[in-house]
Order: sequence, then structure tokens, then C-alpha cells
Amino acid sequence: MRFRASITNIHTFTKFTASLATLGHIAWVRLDEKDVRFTVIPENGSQVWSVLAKDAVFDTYTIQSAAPGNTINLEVPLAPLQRALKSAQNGTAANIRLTKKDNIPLLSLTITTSTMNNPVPHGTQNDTGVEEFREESVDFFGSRQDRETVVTQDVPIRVLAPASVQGIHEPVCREPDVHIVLPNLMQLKSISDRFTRLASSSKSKSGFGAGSSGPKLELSGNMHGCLRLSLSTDAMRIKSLWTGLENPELDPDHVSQGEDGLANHPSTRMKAMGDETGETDEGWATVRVEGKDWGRVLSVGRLGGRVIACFCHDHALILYVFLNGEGPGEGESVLTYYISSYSA
Amino acid sequence: MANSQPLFTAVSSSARQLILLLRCISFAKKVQVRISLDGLHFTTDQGSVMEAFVVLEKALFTSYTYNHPAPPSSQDDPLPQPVFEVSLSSLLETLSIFSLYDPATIKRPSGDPSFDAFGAHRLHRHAGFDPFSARSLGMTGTCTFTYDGDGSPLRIHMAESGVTTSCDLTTYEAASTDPIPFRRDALALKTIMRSTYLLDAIVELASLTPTELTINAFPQSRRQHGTSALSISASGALGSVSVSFSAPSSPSNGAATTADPPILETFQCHNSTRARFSFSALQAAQRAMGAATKVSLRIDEAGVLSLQFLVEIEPVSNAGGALSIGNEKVAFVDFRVVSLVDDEYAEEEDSGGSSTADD
Amino acid sequence: MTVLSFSLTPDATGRMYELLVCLAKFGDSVSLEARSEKASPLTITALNLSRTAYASFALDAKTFFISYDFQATSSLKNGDRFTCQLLNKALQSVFKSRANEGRSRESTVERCDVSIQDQPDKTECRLIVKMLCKHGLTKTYRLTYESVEVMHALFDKSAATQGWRISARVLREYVEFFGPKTEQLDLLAQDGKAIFTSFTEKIQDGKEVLKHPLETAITIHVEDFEEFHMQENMHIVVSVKDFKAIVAHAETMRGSISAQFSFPNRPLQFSYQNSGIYCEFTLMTDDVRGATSTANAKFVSTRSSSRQPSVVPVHSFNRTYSEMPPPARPPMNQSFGSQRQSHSLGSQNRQNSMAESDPDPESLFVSGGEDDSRWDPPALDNDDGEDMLGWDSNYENPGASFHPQLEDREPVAPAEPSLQQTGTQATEGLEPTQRLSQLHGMFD
Repeated sequence: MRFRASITNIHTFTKFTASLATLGHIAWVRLDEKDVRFTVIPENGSQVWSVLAKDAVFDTYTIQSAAPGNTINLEVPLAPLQRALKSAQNGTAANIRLTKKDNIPLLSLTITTSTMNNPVPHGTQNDTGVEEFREESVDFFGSRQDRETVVTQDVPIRVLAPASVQGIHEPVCREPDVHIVLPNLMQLKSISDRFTRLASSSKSKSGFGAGSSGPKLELSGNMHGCLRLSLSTDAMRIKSLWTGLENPELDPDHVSQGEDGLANHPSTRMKAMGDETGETDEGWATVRVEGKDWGRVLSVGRLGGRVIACFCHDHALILYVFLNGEGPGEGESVLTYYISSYSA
Repeated sequence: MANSQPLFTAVSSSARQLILLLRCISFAKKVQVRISLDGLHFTTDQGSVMEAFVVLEKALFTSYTYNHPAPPSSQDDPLPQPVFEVSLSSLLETLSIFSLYDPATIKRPSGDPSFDAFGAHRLHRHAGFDPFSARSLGMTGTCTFTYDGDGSPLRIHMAESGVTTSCDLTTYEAASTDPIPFRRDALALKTIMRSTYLLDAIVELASLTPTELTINAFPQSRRQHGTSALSISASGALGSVSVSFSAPSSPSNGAATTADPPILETFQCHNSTRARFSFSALQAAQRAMGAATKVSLRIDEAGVLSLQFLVEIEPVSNAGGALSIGNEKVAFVDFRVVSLVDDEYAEEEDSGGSSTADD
Repeated sequence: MTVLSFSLTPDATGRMYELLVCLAKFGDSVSLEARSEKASPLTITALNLSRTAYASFALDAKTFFISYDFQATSSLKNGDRFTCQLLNKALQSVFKSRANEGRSRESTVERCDVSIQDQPDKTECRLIVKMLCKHGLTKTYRLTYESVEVMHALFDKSAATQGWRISARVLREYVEFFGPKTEQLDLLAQDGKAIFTSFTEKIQDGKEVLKHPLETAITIHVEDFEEFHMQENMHIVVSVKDFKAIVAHAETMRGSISAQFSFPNRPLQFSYQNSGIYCEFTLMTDDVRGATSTANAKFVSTRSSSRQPSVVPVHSFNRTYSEMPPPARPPMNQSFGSQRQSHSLGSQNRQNSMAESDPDPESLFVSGGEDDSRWDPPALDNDDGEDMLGWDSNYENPGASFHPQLEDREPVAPAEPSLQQTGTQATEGLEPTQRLSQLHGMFD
């Protein structure tokens, strides 16, 4: 089993990892000849299934496995991976490979940095011995800038047998009632986080939010470009309303039964209800999300992709985050978040 | 209220200013709101030991309409002004909705306090953050307050590019408390200084986690040259701290002081004064100390401390224009704190017993 | 009466805070030792609980202080010395606000006066700090201290013939790479490079492997050091936490940091100096990875063969340090050599190293130890053997012990039920969020 690649887009990879790390500690990583899949299924909260086209972040990508389809399945702790990638931010080159040390399998990052020490004059030195000493060495090692320092970061991992991942399947949901492009995630997250805080501050006395999990926010969308976030507590009722958002057209080729399927699609029916002002009570598909979990999901905003939210009323919310490919011929990189709706 | 027009409507083009002022008194859970013709009066208190109030004056709003209902007959007393309580944290969070990117919440990559600022800059730049543009977004939002009388919520409506937020704050019946009396005509001490000096002193004292602090003031007649006029001190398990301020130079040699402004801009004290206060009460005023430019510190002969903070509000530069006529506007935030009963009067030594003694 | 009084500039006041922050990473209390001598009459030290790390800041009378006045009297228990101990936290709070001055603080310190009032007949002794600020603002702190004897670590510089020196700023940048949870730092010289590896004792226990902190190796060309002289393939291990604390402070002093050492399991000393502050950290070292020096000691060194023997690194180090005051004074040997010390930074170490010290530094390593081929250096170049790893056919066979975590594979079996489950649900689709409890064999 062998895997080796050079990382060409360290910033995307770092932000990608950071987004996943907010949801869970460990990712199931599946490597094959085409792409790299990261899946995080936390004990509680939303799960994410993501596909990174190998060209999106890697170059000189080598994989060799005895498993069918030339795949490698790993369990990777996200926090150490994120930290390892962070140390490559200012490097000149970074490589990742699967290796083993002391019998522990590792993802080893090798980061090359150019030497950072431009010889700084130490003007405040007042000890003549030191000054003299320094001059000697500076004089002697005049060309010190050209060397490279190598940093290796070893992330401990586990290798998974194909059988052990057979039972894990990506969730399948019914056709969504509403699909809508989310507004700027930074704004949405900021407002959502305020709502969550508002809910927490009045939670103690109202017993709001059943069970031990945190406060719930109500998120609704309609087929007329409206998105609504609302919250009720004893102390207040608050809602934020976005209008003028885009409801992307469905591609008949991707809907079962083509044009007929489209005509009977739930979103087509939803289109007949509600309006662009978002003031009516009709035509909304609503889900209830846990505030903190929702905030963690929205941290994917750092990747800057286009986000389409699919509402299955009272059931689930699915977010598709499309990363911008940097060139033609690249495979599609997309993160899919599955968020369960809590009952009212 | 058959009239469709609400009892009260006010529009502000800068939620930021309102937040700035309301945060100064945000040590309590609920805030009492009183609507008058002059403005919105906000009051918070800490038991009966301390109270704080701020007025959001009419002039802070681009429009301000209070239809004070006329009494049934001209012979009757005027109807009382509407008074109610709302959750202060909910009010502040709501107003903050558009202050999108609070720089204080930008997390450093590690908990390391000595984190390299240049590194942070690089990181943020690459992460595509631009805190400035995000913050400026927060300043453009306008917000509208409406209130329709007893039992109705206080409604805040805010609009910003692409998104509107409306919030109904539940109103609660106001608890009737008597304000802490302060005798302006019987002052034991009056001094004015930049409020950061006071903040600095409180922060310094806080390192000892004291339960109380002592303010000492000495009239000029009782001071030798070079000794301090005012001192604020406290002690804790680790030791004691005293921060002392020298008096402004006497008028006779006032010419030499232009380059070196006196720390106490005003100092009036006729008899040596000593008073003790709950440290937590003073700490509650810390936000006000940070927001204000000047503070007037007064103690009356009954030992009540009055802190009046002068807060400068930056001129609004929005296209509405109505507010940009006045350049720098000021608002006042007031704190009143009852002193702990001194040892001379009560034998109980520790502060735990004396803090409730004035009820 | 006042035994000691001194005054500090605003700059020195800030430095005082920085060194207290550094000392706080070694222990909760700090010890002060005042003497009347000119060179560096005041030393502030801390010793960690396990007595494996000792930090010392010696302050120079002329450079560091505006004025320094020590009244040696017969009332002092130690004759010509005054020693005391107090909580770092208390002292830090006094100097704290000085560090973030210049932002909005109005009260810029103009001078800091410190005095110690020793009253042998009273239990309450006071250390008084007066911060004199602009515009007649004065802050006065009265702290209590404990009058105790102070211990200092001994370090035999003459035996510590190996070492290096590098810009603290450069080292600081590298230190950032070390993961927050790693415990130990391995210093190694190999192939003309210095390798700093932060690691934690391995947990081989299946699932726990994933909780293992990041292991970080930084490979620096010895030419990037101002000075480097270390026996090839010898491992010196210190605590990462101590190392980070030292490098962080060294960077604030804007100079170069030196390390001096002899062998694993002997003390190592980091040192640097500036602005009249002489900083020394004596750390006990380890060689937990089981590596020791070879019989035919080779050195990785920046020492030029064309150079005169008089400028070999060893001499350079000694010359530099000869200007520093001896940190340990004869009267302290006694206390330092107490039983409690013997297993850490103890006098034993000192005696041993003294006994072995030899005018010829090279000879030290002849009997240094045995070759240890078990030590596997961090491989930087790709090694096919290393790269090849797998679960392969052995993976699901508990009998074949290819992987130590093989027993963790057993939960693979329950994956079957969940598979069936999916089968039955296939028509309705899966729930948008699967509970982990439904998934066996992966995240268990």
C-alpha cells in the first residue's frame, strides 16, 4: 500500500480540513486514483461527505493498493492534520505520504521552508564577547540564506480494511421541497451565532430546547428566493429574512423520470406557493437545527464556495458546497452536509 | 390606543452608538426602560447597592415620536410615562446583529498570548478575511424601535443589504425601586479626571481580587507638598495596592502646567474623606470607564458615590445627513454606589456583613 | 529596616515582567537573592516541582538598574546575602500592566522603586514596589514574602563541551511547529544537520493511536547555526514545555541562544543575555529513545579545520561565559547537594561530570557508550520499505500479527448487521444523519 502526493494548494486543503475538524475529531479518508474523499460522522450532530478532486489540492499523486479499485481507506485525526497543514502555510513545498514508524502508520507531511534568518543585526548587544562571536560566524557562513529547513509532521492514523467501511453509506434523502443558494455564509453564520447566543442566554429559565442538546433555530426557505431564520424564547421572538436569493433550476437530466419527474417535483409544487417578500406563511419548507451544530457547519464558509441548501420539510437540510475549480479538466470538489431536523 | 399610530417610534441610523452606551450599564440581566419626550431612559441596578442609568436622547435618533396620551381631562395629573423591563442581554445581542465582525472575536490560531502578529496577519490575509469591510457593513444598518403600550412587546426592526431582522422583546412589569439618593448640594468630594485613569486603577486593584476598595481624599490644607490628594486602595491575600493621584497644581504656578496636564482636572475636598465600597460594584462600571473619556467622581456627605461618565459619540457619517450637523456629541452614563458602613459606625469588620447594612 | 532598594527604568520594568512570565512556566514561586557585589547582585530564580528544570535571571547592577543599594548587615541570616521567596503571581500582577502599556494606558511608568523591608523580629515582611507614573500618579504595592534559603542548580561548564548557538528569533519560528501536546524534545545531530523532534511516548494501543499528538521533526542545516558542535547520532532529550518557555523569552531579548551540554542524562544549559540580564536555564536531560553515543565519536560541527584550536567552539563558549557571574556560590553547594536533589539536577551529576572531565574534550566520548543500531532516525528520504505498509491479506486474520492494533479489527465483524440494515432501508433511503452507534468497525 502506497500513497504519496505533493500538495499544491495548501490553503484550500488547510481550510477544508479546518471546516471538517469543527464537526468531528476523526475523518474516514478514502483515497483512490480519481479523488480523495473525507467523511466525518460525529457521534452527535451533522455529518459531512466530501470529495476533493485530486487536482484540486494535489500534484504528482501516486496510489498503489491491493484493495479493489486501488483504494486506500484510513482513519485520520483531523486536529493533528490541520495543525500539520498549518505549519506548511509558509513553506516552499509540501508533500504528504503514507508511511510507518515504530509500527504506527502515519501520514507524514514533509514541508520545506527556506531559511528565515536574514541575519538581523543585534544592535542591543552590549556584551563585546557576543558581538565578536557573532561577527565571526556571520563572516564565516556568508551564504546562509540559501539553505532549506525541512519540517516533518507525522499524523498518526489507522488503516481500514475494505470490509470495515462497507457498512457506511452516504445518507439518501427524498427529493427536497426547496432548494436555494445561501447568502454570504459569513453574514449567515454571524447572525445564526447571535441567535444561538440569544437562545442560550434565556435558556436557563425557560427550559427551551428539549433534552440536553442546545437551543434550536428554525430555518426556512421558499422557492421565491427567501430564507428565514427565527427563534422564540421567553424574552423575545426574533427572525431574520433574506430575500432575492437564487433558486437554481433543476436539470431534468438529474431528476428521476426527467421532465415528468420535474413537473411532479416537490419544489415545483412549492413554487406555486409563497412570494418574493417572504411575508406570507405559505410556501416555506422548514427545518429545526441545533444552533451550535449549525454554526459548525457554517464554518465551511471559509472555503468560499457556492452553497446550495436543500430543504426536506420537517426532515432534513442538505448543503452542497461547491469549491471553485481553478482550471478546466478538474474534477468537481464538493462537500455535502447532512443535517437532521429536530422535531418542533 | 384605537389610533393606528404606535405610542412610540424611533429610528436610529447607528445601532453602534446605542450599543456603546447600553454596554456601559450591562452588568444586570434586565434593564428598566422609561419612554419620555426627551429620550429613552435605561436603568440597571445591583441590589440596592448600586444603580446605573443612561439616557438615549432624542437627538441620537434620526426620528423620535412619542405620542404621549393626554389625560382624560386637563384637571387630571398627566399620565405616567411608559415604564417596563426587557432582557438586557437580548436587547444588546439584537442590536449587535449587524456588527458582523467584532475584531475581539477573531480567534488566534493558538492560545498563545505571544502569538506573532505578523503571522496572524499573513494567516488572515490568506484566509480571505477582511475585518474592516465586514465591520463597516455593521455600521450601515438602521434600526427602528416601536412600542405600543402596556403588554405589547418592544419591537426592533433592522434592515441591511439583503436581510431584515425584526425582534419582539418581551416586556415585563417594572419593579418599582427608589433611586439611590445623591445630595449634590452636600458634597464631601468632587474630582474630574480622564476615565482611563480610573479604569487603570480598578484593573490594578482587581489583580488582588479584593472584596472592597477604599477611597481616601485629603483637602489641600491637610496635605504636605508632594503628597497625593486622592488614593484608591484595596488589599487581598497577596498583598495590598494603592493608586494615588496628586492634586492639580495650585493656581499660583499654573503657568508651568500646559505641557503636563494635571491628572485631576478638578479637585474639591474640604475635609478628609474616607469611604469604602464594594469592589464588584466598581468593577461593574469598568465598561463605562473604558467607553468614556472623562469621569466626574463625587462622594456626598452620606457616603454615596456618584460616577458620571462623559461618553463621546462619533459623528454619524451616513447619507441621511441629519446627524452630521452636530460634530461630536456626548452622552452621560451615571453610576451611584452606596458606601459600605465604616468601622467607626459598625463594629463588624468584614465586608460580608456590612454590604447589606444600608438596607 | 530596608535591606535592599533599587530603581528601574520603564524598559527594565517591562523586562522584569517578561522574565516573571518565563519563570512562571517553571514554578509558582520565585526566589530572590540579593548580594552587594557589583557584577550581578540580584538573581531571580525558579525551580520546577520535579526539580528537573531551573531558571535563573541574574541582573547586572550597572546595566539593569538605575540604582541598587544593598545593606549587608549582621542581622541577615546569610551574612552578606539576602534571600526570600514569593508567589510569582503576586509579583507578576505588579509588573503586569507595564507590559501592555502604550496602547491606551494613560499611566506610563517613569520609574519603578523597589524596596525590601526585612524585620527579623516580625513575621510579616514586606516587599514594596512603587510605580511612579506621569502626572503625579503613583501605584504602591505591598507584598508579603517568605524569608527562605534559595537553591541554585549547578552546572559544570567545563564538562559541557558540546553545544550550539542560534538566533532566538529563528528558533522561535521553528518552535511554533511543535504540537501543543507533545512532551519531549529530542536534539540530534546527523549528516551535517540538527534535528529537533518533538514527541510523546508512543501509545501502541489501537484506537488510542489516533489521539497521539503530532510528532514534529525540524531539520536545520548546522550552517544555519552561528555555532554548532555536537556528537553525531547522540540524542539529548529535554521537555518541550521548558524549551518553548525558554525560546519564547529568549526571543524577547533579541539575541542568540546557546545550548551547552555533555551527555544524555546530564544537565544541559541554555543561556543568553542582553540589557544587563543574564539568563540561564539548567535542564536535566534524558535519552529515552535508548540511543547513546558511539565508540568512535564523530562530530557534526561548524568548527573549521583551518581554524586555530583556540577558536574551537568549546573555547568560544567558555570565553563568552567567563564574563558571566558564577551562578552557583560555594555556600549553596550544601543545600543543593541535599538528598532531595540527587535524582534530578543534583550534586551527583556535578561530581560525576567533574570526575570525568578531561582537558581534552574529545576524550570524553571514547568510553561514552555503545553503538545502538536500534535507534531509527527520522527518515527524511523516501524509503520503499518504510513506505510499504498495509493491512493486506493478513488484515482480517487475527492470527497474523502484522499490526499491533490487529485486535482492534475485531469489531469489523459487526459491520455485517449494519449492512443488512441498509439493505432493508434501501427503498426509504438512509436517515440524513446516521448515529455512530449504528456504524461498527470504523469509529469505534
